[in-house]
Amino acid sequence: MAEVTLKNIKKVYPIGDTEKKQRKALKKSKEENPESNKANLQITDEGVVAVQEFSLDIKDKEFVVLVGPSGCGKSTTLRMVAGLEEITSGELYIDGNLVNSVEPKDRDIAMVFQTYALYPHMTVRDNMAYSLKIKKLPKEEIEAKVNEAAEILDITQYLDRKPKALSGGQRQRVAIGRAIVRDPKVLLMDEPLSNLDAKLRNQMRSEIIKLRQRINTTFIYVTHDQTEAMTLGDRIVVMKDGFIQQIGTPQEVYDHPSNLFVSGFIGTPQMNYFDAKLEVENGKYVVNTDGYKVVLSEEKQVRLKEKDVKPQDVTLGVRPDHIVLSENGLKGKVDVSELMGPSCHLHMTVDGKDVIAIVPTEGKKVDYVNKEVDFGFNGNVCHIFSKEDEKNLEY
Amino acid sequence: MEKMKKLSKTKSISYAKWGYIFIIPFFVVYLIFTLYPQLLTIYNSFFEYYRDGLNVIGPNFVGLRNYKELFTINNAGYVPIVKYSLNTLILWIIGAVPQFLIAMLLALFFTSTRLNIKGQQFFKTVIYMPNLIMASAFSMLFFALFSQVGPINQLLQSWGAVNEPINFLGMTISVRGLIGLMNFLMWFGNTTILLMAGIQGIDESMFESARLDGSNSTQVFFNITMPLLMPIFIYVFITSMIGGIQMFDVPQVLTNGKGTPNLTSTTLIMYLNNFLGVSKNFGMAGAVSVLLFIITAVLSAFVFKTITRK
Repeated sequence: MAEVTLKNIKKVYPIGDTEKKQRKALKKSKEENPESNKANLQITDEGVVAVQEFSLDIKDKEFVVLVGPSGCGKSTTLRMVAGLEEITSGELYIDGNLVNSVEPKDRDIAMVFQTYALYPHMTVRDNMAYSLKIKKLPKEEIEAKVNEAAEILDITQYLDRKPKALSGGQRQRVAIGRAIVRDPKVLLMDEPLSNLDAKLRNQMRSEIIKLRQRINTTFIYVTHDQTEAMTLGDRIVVMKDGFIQQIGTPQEVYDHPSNLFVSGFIGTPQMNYFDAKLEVENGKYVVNTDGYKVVLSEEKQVRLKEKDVKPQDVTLGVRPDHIVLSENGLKGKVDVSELMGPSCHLHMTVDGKDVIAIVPTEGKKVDYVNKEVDFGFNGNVCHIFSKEDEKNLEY
Repeated sequence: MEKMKKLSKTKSISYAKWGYIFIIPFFVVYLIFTLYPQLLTIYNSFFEYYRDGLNVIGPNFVGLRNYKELFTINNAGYVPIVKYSLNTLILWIIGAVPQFLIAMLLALFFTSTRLNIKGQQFFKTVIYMPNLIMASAFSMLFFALFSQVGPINQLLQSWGAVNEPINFLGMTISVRGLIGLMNFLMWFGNTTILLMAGIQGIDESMFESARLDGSNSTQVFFNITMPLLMPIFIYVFITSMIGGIQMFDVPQVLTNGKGTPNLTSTTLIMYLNNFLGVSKNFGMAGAVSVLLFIITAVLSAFVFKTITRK
């Protein structure tokens, strides 16, 4: 149970001579071909910048999820909180104490690793009891704590087995058990579910939600899976290229993405994008997509007016579930139709771009494939992004 | 149907015979130069078969007499196999203990992500170098360095540390020490590389997890590194021990084959070698060989069992 504060944290990995040469080559190839931005990490004279300008206040008992694509610096941030990576600059506070140079063993933090990191030569019981033995707690207390954690996680019957005799899901439970048995101030989880199959992942996800209700501690959870981020976190931190893109509750991030990246990263299927014009007609903001005009909702009108947004070319984003088939609107040719049970995902081509629409089936079987359909959307579901800096013009 | 028959015929071609053809040269060499001499050695160990002056005695079947003789007190008042086994063991321990300690320390330093030592490749090459030098050449070098007129004595005298040259090659402690030192220098690099490979094979997250669990470096070493490194460590330990049993060239060259002083540096193989000198005592040499073979086989079986243990 603790507050965690990260102030302007930066992590730079120094580079050697070989890497310097590679960096020069990379720079050169980038200059020659700016499109091929292969590495999403920034390489400077100091080295490879993994995380920068990372500031975040995590409240006591809060569940914060760091989410982003591979190489965005989320795991590095978590490892810096754990003390497994040195912080290049910035300040890290746990419960108000500056811990930048405090050893991991003295931070009272537990971590669940992606690979579980169970000690293969110890039984499940010994794995769970290890940290308590190091703390030199009395035997009876250790026994009681291990049994309690095992009961919470339903692994009591496996206590005398070695990790190799357990399935992936069971190992995951043991890894979590080993972390919670200590009553840590902060519980860190580094992609704990990514090694499990889809079914087990769903099951474990709901178990983590239940676990969170049972143990009162601060959670920092790293994942690249936006579903995990949306379902688990009180707040989610979306990262890209070492920078925080947006911090907010899952609903805020989903409804009001701060930029094009966040809008595309959060939500499945991905948001659809159209080249559009933001115009003002009769004092109201209107988006014009290839002649299809939609008046924006009152809320959006107010926000755009407050920011005094000028008419301009924009990228219009609409989520697939907000697209409705209508008689007038944009035209698209359906290439693929995926039946999902209650709804149908239509993959359409509109002006050479892919657009996905989620259409409720309502029990009817309709064949859309190779047909041309008209579709539209309402003014309250339009997300308008600047063409220049890809930021949401409303915020 | 015709086609099917043809297909099945094609499938029945066996490539196995090519495999056998390729391994024939190895087996021929093995049979002639390894298996046959081994069997002959075992056979000879049950015979009285040696040269006395110009006469060849035997071969006469004597059963286990040669083996009994090894374990019987001789004219000089000691049991030969026990004395030379102890010599070998002591010489091995003098070299092996520092070898394991230093190699383990170096392996830990080199693999530590926290220390992140620069120029590792250079150090690894340097510490491995002595292993590439021929043992007898290394031994000759030490013989020259530590002889009574050698540079070490000259240095000590010029510094005034000693008045008379020290007879390094005439004292049990210094001869054994020098043999141990040479074995240590020749093998610690090899052991370091093996232990490093072992440590690098352990998932880094084990160490990180242990550190987060509150362990200090010593606790990480004894609770995590050592148990997980055990199969490699046992392999290194036993192979070193087998190497120790076969110790020959270093003491042979340093003491000019005499195991001086007073046979205190005579190893088992030197003892075996003595039977093959003028006397050509194939019976006794066979018995010593068979005994060594049994000891080595037992140790190897132990390593195999440890490493393949699930």
